[in-house]
Amino acid sequence: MKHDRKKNLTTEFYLLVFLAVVLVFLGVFAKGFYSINNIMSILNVYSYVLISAIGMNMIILTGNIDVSTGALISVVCLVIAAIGKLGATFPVLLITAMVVGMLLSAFNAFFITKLKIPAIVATLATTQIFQGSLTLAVEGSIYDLPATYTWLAFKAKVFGIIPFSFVMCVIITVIALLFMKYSRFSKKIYAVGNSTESARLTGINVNRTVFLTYVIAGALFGVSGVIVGTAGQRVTTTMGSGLEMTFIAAVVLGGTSTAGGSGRILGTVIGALILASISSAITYLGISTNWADFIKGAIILISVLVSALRTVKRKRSIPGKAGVQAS
Amino acid sequence: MGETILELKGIVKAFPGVLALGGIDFDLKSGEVHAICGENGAGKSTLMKVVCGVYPPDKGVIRVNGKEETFANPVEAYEKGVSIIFQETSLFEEMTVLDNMFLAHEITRKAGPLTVLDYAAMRQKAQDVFRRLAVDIDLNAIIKNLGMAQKQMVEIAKALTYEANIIIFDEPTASLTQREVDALFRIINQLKADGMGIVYISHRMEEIFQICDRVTVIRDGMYISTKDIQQTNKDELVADMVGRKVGNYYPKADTQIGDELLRVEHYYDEGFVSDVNFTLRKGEILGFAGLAGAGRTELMLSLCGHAKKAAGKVVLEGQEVHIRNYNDAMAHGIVYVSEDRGKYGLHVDMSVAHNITLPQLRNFRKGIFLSSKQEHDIGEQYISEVGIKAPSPEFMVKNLSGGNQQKVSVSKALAIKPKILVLDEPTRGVDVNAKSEIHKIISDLTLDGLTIIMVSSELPELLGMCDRIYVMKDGTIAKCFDRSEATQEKILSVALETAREEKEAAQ
Amino acid sequence: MKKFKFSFNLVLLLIWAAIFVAIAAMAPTFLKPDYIINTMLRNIVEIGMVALPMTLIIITGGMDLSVGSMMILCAVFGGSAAAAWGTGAGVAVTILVGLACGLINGLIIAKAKISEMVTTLATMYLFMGLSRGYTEAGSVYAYNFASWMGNTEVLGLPIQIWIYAVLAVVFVLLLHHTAFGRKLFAIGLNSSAAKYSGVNVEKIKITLYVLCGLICALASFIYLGRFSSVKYDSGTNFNLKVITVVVLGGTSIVGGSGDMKGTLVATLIIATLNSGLTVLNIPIATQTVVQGTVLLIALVAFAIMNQAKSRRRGAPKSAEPKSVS
Repeated sequence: MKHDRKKNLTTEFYLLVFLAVVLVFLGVFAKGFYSINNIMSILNVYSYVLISAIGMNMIILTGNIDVSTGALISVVCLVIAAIGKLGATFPVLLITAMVVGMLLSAFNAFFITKLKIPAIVATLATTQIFQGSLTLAVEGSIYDLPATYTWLAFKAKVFGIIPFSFVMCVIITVIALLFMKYSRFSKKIYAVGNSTESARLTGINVNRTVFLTYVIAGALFGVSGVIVGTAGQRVTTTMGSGLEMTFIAAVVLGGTSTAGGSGRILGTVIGALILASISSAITYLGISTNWADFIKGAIILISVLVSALRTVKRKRSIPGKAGVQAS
Repeated sequence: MGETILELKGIVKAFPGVLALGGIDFDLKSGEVHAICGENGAGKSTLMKVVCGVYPPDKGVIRVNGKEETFANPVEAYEKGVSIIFQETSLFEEMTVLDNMFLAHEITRKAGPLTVLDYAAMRQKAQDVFRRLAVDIDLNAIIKNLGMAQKQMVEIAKALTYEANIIIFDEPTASLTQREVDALFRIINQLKADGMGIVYISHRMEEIFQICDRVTVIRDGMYISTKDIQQTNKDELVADMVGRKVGNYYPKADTQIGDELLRVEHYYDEGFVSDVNFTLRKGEILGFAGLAGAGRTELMLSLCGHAKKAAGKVVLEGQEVHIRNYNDAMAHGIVYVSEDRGKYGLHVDMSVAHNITLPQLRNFRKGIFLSSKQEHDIGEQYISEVGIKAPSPEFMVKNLSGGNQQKVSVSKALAIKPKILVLDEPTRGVDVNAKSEIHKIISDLTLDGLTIIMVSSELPELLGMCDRIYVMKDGTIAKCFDRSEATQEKILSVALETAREEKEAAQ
Repeated sequence: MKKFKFSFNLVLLLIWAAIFVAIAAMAPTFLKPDYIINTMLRNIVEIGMVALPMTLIIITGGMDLSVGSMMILCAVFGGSAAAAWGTGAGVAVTILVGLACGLINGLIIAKAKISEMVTTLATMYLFMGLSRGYTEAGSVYAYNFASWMGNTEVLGLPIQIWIYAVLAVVFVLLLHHTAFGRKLFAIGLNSSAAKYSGVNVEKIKITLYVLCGLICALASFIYLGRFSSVKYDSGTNFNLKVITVVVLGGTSIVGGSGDMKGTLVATLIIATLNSGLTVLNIPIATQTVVQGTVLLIALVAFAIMNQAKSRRRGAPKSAEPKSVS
């Protein structure tokens, strides 16, 4: 039985080794990567990537996905910019962002749970609606935002140096780790992802579980939206474009199966750090940022392939499992 | 033995086209192990699924611990003290042992204003249960990494965490080794001593005599008898299971049996069948009998090219052939008709004609396009030849009865003009009339020179139709009977004989 | 069943007619033949073309989200090759890139058994990222063959409309009148039963994705010619527009049923809607919202129709005896 535990550790263990290799490599080849400023900027990126990736992880654990997250964050950014312009302070911005995130995510979940539309198609369609509505509502961008609005990015530093966003990220991560370990709800998420049919037979309300998971994730997307949106005095309609891909990459890289039912927050924590480091490193390595999308796409594809090949191997070792049922 | 804790009265359950249970009575007392036995398809598992709320009964009363109950799902049954341990475990593969044991009824505690999972308490309770069962399984292990026996232990332990006093075992020993079976029996005796009632579904005689107190026999969904184990014997039970059916008419035609058509030597398919040798002569109907899981279906699938890693020598009409996929098999004239029509045999959302032409669409073309006229014609042809009750070849298969669907399945195979037709459970899930019609069709086919392999769990069908019968057990052929010497009793006793020591050695 | 399909296409045609008449009533310029040909029809060709193989893929229960990225990647590499080595190289590279991308999708889906959605979502980013990295986010310009494909008139109609028309006929025949097409339905309805009928599911899936890549390559010539330059992000949301057309045309998003003629009519509806909104001076952003809304409405309508159908059929599938032993 000890054997099994070892097997479970390996995903996170390999990730940590990979992370260490990446960090050492960057230390040697990327001049200036370990400067204080860069580390703080990585921490800021890491914060919003990880907060959303935790939400995305929960969604993927249920066997669904959300590709509208980028557009959703764009909406959040513009909404808080609009009230920020009126002088709203950080707590108001944060709560508004979370509420908007939850509402939009519930909109997604409605189509997925009530109308049984495959998550990827439903969220692709809502991406259009979110993005399109934005461009309709706002001509170009909202700018000249007051200092109260950009407080998080420029003023909120712990010990004068560590970004407050990182503190938020740590708090949320700790809560998420505890939630996934100590809540009854987390067990339902895993059960639904393992087998909706068995979950239903066990008396779990599958639709309700998926719906709530999306809503929780929506709140987390909202928090990320605040970090992304308050980074400057100007907010455009495409602040979040393409971010969903980074989040999905972090989750998949962290060892969560896209089929649902298996994967841990801890993996996502490391996966997000690897991605945040790589994004930043691209500049320091003298590679054009234009290659960032390609690198992330390749990371998603390779992680999915590796985990699929591992499953295939495992299946082969259990005779009788893959075959047709006996009469 | 104590008071009655589970009582079934007149349970009726019908599925489209079949009466699965026709009024079953059953009772279970505390502190006893009560076996339900019957042939494959007799309705044992269906009965227990009705009890646990997987299927709602059409008629009848279920009384648990003196109260009348109907369960909407297995969880409700659990909560009222009835647990079922299925053949296929219903555990969540990617979750830990502990999570599985307490899913949907976790123990919680208060942490300030929050209700949180109380792992210490759950662990404690799980350990208590494990200690009671005298098993040792790591609570943090992931289910998919456990063996079959361990998964079963987890299911039993899960049942005990619900404070169940009735546990139903559905063929629990099907995939266990002898040592694991011994361990299981020790646990069952333990539970019995604790005053629980156990329903033990099996058709393995020696197990029933080893562990059970009473035995109820059902046959074709009907209640036959209930006996004290001390006052009965194996022969009597087998006779009850088999029945002395009169007026069973099998329209077997007298055919000229020719030379050897197919010879299979040292056939091997990892995990399913090993060292299978048999011969098939032209014009005969060759039967394959055996228990569920004996490897009959797997052998046929491998022979028809559906297995990737099969090995062995297959000689067809004197020439060794290599069948790599189903198209190879069809090209050599070997055609397989699946036991599971809905899943593997037919496209129920397609028309009769389109089902028949699917395996050989290239033969129904005019130029490069499909010819709907040719498709229609072959549909018409088989509708009249095989007697499919469908208004037209364009009729959707899903709107046909089970028997007529099976006829479409057979037509689809016949249209390929096979030399060897492999029929896997050809009459499963069809009613009595359609059954004899299908038997007639099979018989007529041999008159046309076709050779047939028939896999069936219904012994009367095999005895009535086949020229020779091979009995399979544990993935290999145990014995071959000629038509003249075969009886249900002989076949059953070969199929039931323990060969566990061999299995043990093989592992 | 036949009758139902016929009436469904009829309904689609009526919807199209209604939209057409409504827009024409509001903006008479809409009725000018020049507008119909050069705006309404010409602008939809790429989407319409890719919707053809997409219909086939969705019928098998699959999905290709990478079509937009594939098309742009073909244009980017083809255009660059043409600039460096001439037109011949440009054409050859475009086709090869399309085939290669399709093959990557097909192999991963059929051999590694990774879900269609996840695979093509990843390759969508991968192909787009490759375009972006390779062009350094710059533009790639049309060369003579692409310009010719995008801007030539033959017998009074732009050449791409002719190409589309030919392809449309080929695909209708392919889906509804060939063995290949029948096998696609068989896979979508029940892929195990198809396998047990000797249908080579893996091979057909790979073929489909390669075919889709090839059509994307073809569409990329027209796209590049029509706009005379492309950037890496020109293909954003192209996949969605294509899926909208297919779903609106009555193909079930879960596979197993569909009609190529429905896809053709749906293409016409979307073309009319897009050009109509333009002629009515409604901003592009609204068109995006309309696009997403139309897709959702189509999906919801079919979901409701399916639920009604399965309710009428009576017992749910799980109630059937799986193994009665």
